[in-house]
Amino acid sequence: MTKQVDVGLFFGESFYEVIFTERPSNVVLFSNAFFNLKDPFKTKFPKLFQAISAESQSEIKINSVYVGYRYLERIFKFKLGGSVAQVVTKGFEHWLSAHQFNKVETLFSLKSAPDLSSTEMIFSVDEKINPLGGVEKELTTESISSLIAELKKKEAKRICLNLVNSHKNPSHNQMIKAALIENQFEVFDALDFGATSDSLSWRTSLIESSLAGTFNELKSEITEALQVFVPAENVHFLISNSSTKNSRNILSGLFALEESFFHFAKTKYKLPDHYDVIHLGLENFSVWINSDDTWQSPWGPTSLKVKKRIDLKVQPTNSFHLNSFEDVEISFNEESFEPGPMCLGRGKIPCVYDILNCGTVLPELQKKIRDSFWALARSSNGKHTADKAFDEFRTVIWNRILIESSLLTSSETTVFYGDFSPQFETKAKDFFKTKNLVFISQKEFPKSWLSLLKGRLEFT
Amino acid sequence: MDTRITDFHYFLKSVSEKFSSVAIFNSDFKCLHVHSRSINNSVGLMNGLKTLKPFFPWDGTHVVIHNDPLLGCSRIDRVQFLFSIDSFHFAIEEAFSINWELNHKIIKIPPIPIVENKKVNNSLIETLSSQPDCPKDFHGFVLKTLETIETFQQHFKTILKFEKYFSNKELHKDYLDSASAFALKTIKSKTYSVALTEFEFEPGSFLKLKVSTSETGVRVDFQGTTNHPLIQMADSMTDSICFHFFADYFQFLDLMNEATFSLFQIAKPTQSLANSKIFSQKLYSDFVGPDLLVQALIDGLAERSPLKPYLFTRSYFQIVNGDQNKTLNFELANSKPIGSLGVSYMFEPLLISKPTPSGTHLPGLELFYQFGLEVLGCQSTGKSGRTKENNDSTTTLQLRCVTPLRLNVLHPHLPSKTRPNKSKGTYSKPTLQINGALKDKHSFILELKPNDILEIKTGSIEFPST
Repeated sequence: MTKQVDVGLFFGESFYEVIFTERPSNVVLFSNAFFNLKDPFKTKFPKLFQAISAESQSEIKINSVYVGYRYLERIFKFKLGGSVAQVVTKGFEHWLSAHQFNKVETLFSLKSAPDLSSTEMIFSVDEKINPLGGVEKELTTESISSLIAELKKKEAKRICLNLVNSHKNPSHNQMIKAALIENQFEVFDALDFGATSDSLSWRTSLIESSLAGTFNELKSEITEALQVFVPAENVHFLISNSSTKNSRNILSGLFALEESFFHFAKTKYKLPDHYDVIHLGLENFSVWINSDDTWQSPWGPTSLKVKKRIDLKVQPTNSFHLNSFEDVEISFNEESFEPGPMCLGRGKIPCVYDILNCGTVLPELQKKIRDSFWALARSSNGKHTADKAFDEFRTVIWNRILIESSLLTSSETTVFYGDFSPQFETKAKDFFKTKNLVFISQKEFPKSWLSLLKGRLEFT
Repeated sequence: MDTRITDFHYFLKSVSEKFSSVAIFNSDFKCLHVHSRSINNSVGLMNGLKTLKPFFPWDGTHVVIHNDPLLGCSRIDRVQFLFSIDSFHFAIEEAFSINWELNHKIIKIPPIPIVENKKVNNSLIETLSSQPDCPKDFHGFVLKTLETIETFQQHFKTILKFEKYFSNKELHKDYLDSASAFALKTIKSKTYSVALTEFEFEPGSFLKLKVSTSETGVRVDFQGTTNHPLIQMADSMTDSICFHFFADYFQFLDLMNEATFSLFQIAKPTQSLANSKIFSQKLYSDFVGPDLLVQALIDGLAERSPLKPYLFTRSYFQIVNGDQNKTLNFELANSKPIGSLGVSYMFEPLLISKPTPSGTHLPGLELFYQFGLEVLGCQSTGKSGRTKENNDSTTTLQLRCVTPLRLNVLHPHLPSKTRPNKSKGTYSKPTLQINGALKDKHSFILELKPNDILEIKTGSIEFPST
């Protein structure tokens, strides 16, 4: 007998989740999360498939695979772009950079997001559409040829097309776009990202093009791993409502999870129309608000309207340091999952994840983590003891998360969702005495399942 | 584990982030924390509530507003809101939009309770709003701010019910003592002894500034000089700028409170703004004065440092769109490629004053057009081969007027000479040209007609020193 199944996948920054559900009953055959560095998807998936087939004692046929992801956010902290070039109307070469947003800006410090594209990769083209849509400066075929030659010389591959007022009259835009495509360039058109061609859509397009390389790698890795099990056309990558008709919707997919949650959790858990979510996942702590808002990227606002997500100051991979008062304080710097928290067996620095997860690891590793933390705590001003310090800081972490999220949520109903949600139940009930609290664990409502549900809605 | 001052500090920082400018006081009216994105209002936020302490019941039933510079309100387009929640008191400062009609007065609001016994006094707000010198959207601005305060009150109370020890005065004392001890330790650890700066605006008009650090803290002495009439400002603004500047330099911006401010001795300029009768000067000094004081402080700092500062003074622009009388404020600063610095440089590695204010100050193409200006171009050119490192570039914005409009301009007031002789600063002087003619008065209103061409440059000139 053959079982028809659908597969849901969710790729976080370092973990991925897999769910197999039988069609049409939706019975879950398998659901779990894996640490990508330890169990790479490419090698893990075939093994999982075999194991599930063996256990169900029948042939399994995958009908469709739906892939959700936040994986790309991991590279926000690094230099992006590579061979991305910008083609802009002559005279507007620095229009986007004049709208630069800095993360921190004081008289003596400046923190800005990493490069998206360099000045050397900005190419101007002698054309101009006026604000009423009239042609002010005609685009010539010579300008296009010269542009193409320059782009080839610089070995550009992906091109962001940011022409002033092109939304009022796309004729020049179309001519350049056609020439670029003909010459095998991958074109990212600002017109695909908003109603107007201006700094917001230019920035969105530039971020999307800068992420394209990593997205392609992720896509190839997934499709290669799945190719013997399912035809490539049945592997669907999720998009959110911020998707647009002509763009590749790489960025749009980053926001599909929250959208899917608000859509499906409402029915499943009989939630009211208005509720907020405190998301406590393995990789991210954040507050989700069920209203559309402009996505504030690390480089500034974009033209994407997505569900509002505010990352909390405390994150799973935050480590600890001694602060101005010589107390142990949660660091603002995230250690990331490479090598990752000590609990996962690779890291050497204890972080928030370890404090919350320590009880789940082997006693030897647990001791190692506690000792590492105590090495810092003992040198602080606080009156800590070796046996209590670790548990005390679990309370500190909980309190921090509750204080910050209480200042961000206003609805009467608050949902605690994610892997750490059950741990928070007692403390949260004590804190939010007057609110209606709902706790949903990751296991009962996995992100891979949300990917699958949303995927079916979008693609079937 | 007992409540640690670190956890209390985190609590103060978290709640203060709900406002752009806020001072938090305990039941004894001791200021525990000041958080502000502006450089010119930290001390004003501390002063206002303390001065008004005897005049209103600070029991959570009232919200008092005012915009009096002598009570600490830092700008003509800002209002202080003072209120209490449980055993804590708050002073916040919020901005509203005004037309920079340089010759018109803007309403001066004395301290009045707009919420009394937990009820909004709508008739009072309406009376204020109906005054001829009150900005049009003032009513909406006040109600919106009251809504924000109400939501904040609920959140704050939830936290206090859970963290009862946060109201403990012993904890507050420990916190203030620890903050002060840390700030003093940092001040003492930096080699910064005595620096003297002198700006000459015109013959006989000087601004002298002597800054020194010692075992007891920071001393800023204006040496009896008078600020130029165009940059006079209330004492609390001078205090705020000096306090904020050094808290930033010594890296205790998140520990600004009355204990750390007590480490400062500031001998202010004589004849500082008491209550300027000419409002055009008040508006001008509100915007341009802080930039100039910061420059003077940076110049002094540069003298004691091996680094070369690049000082970018800014012009402030406001478009007033014809009949609708809508306003759009904007600024231009030196631009750089998106994220091109790609690094965080803190403190000493590069000493640069405001290389690139966030893009919030520059509207988009469409918004400019809605207000009657077409953007013709925006370019940035480097002066030296090291532009990427030192941001030594000039940005030019070209605009064409498409409908009749009014442009209000506030240009920086640059001194004609500086001392000491070895001034290392490279000053960037912004310029504005209309149809090729330079407009370099300090403040003026321009009536623009269609096809007028504006060219705004962040500029870069080597400043003459004597």
